[in-house]
Amino acid sequence: MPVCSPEVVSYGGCTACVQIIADNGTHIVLDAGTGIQALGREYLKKGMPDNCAVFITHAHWDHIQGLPFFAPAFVPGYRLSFFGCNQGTFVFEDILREQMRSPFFPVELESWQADISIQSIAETTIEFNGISVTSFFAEHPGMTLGFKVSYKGKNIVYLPDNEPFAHFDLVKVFSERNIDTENADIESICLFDQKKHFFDFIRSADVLIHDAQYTPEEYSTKAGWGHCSFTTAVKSALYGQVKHLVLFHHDPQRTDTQIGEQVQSCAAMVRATNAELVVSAASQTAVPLFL
Amino acid sequence: MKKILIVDDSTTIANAMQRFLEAAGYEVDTRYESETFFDGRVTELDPDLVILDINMPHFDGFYVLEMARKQKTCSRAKIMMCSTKIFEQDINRAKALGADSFLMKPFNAEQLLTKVSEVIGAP
Repeated sequence: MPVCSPEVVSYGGCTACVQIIADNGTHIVLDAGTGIQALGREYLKKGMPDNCAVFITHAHWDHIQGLPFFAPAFVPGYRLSFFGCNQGTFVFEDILREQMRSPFFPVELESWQADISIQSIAETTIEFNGISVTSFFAEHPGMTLGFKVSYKGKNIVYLPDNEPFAHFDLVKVFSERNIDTENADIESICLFDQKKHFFDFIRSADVLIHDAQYTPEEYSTKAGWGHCSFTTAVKSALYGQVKHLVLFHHDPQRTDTQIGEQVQSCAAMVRATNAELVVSAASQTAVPLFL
Repeated sequence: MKKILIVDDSTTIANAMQRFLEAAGYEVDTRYESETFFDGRVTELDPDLVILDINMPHFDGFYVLEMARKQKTCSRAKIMMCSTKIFEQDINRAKALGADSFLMKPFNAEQLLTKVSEVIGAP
């Protein structure tokens, strides 16, 4: 949920929305949390890009609640593409439509006057004006996607809500590497399969934006809620040889000071391994990353 | 002999399950692509049990489950969801859509055989 208090002015209190701009002028927007309202204002002020695609991980409120306030969708002549997954037989377009239906919101999706396409996707790769966006089912309640945005040999992986190894032995996750799948026991095969699925997706990413909602202490009582601890995020990034980890999905109760301490704690974990992983925390006021 | 259909996009897990269940005496068929569940041959197969993954490309497991129950594909079959998606909301949803059982990954051979025999009995 969005938060607003003097304790969260540095990292900001909006919910999930990440903008990626390619040097060919294409804009990729990841999720439509409350942050997309300010992005919409920026587009109205500076002009709407010709190619803009919004990829939605899932329909939990914190990932779509800014969408009804995304002004460019109401402007005739603007062009927007939306991609997201179905929830079983509940298709993506209807999911977006339902959240804007009365009594939840006074202006319905049919009022959007921009040239809009809405496409359901599962695990696939979308080629959008020279940019590849690969989707991946994350571990989170309901059908939830993560995305890998690839352009000119650079990869940004976005997994804002993900608890990849909830019922696995984390010691085994971050130690064992290969097994003989023809002769191994089935429990080891499950572990191997889950690891392959996850680490193949994040491996060697230039930037991994990953769920880091909990402290390890909090996680001990919140396992199975669909989010992971910042220590698991760091271990995953190290194991996957990621270059830059961005801690994401800050807990609504977290203060600027606490987030800063988490980043320091992560940096200490990295130093202990002699790896070159950079760790930072997602922030509304941060200087943009240039790849 | 009791017939089991495994629908899982992970070939390594599907093959391993097939190996263990066949060794236990069950007849087992596998589908690695969820869309093939609706190609008509599954109805002909008439399985006693469908073991169904959730996170799959194309049609997710919830879609397959809901359509299978609505269209009465394999109407005789019990359906066991088998997934790393262990979240309470997903388990409740699967039950509401007509799943008979739920097996969480990771599992060992004993847990697999116990769950299967609970749902459809011995081979």
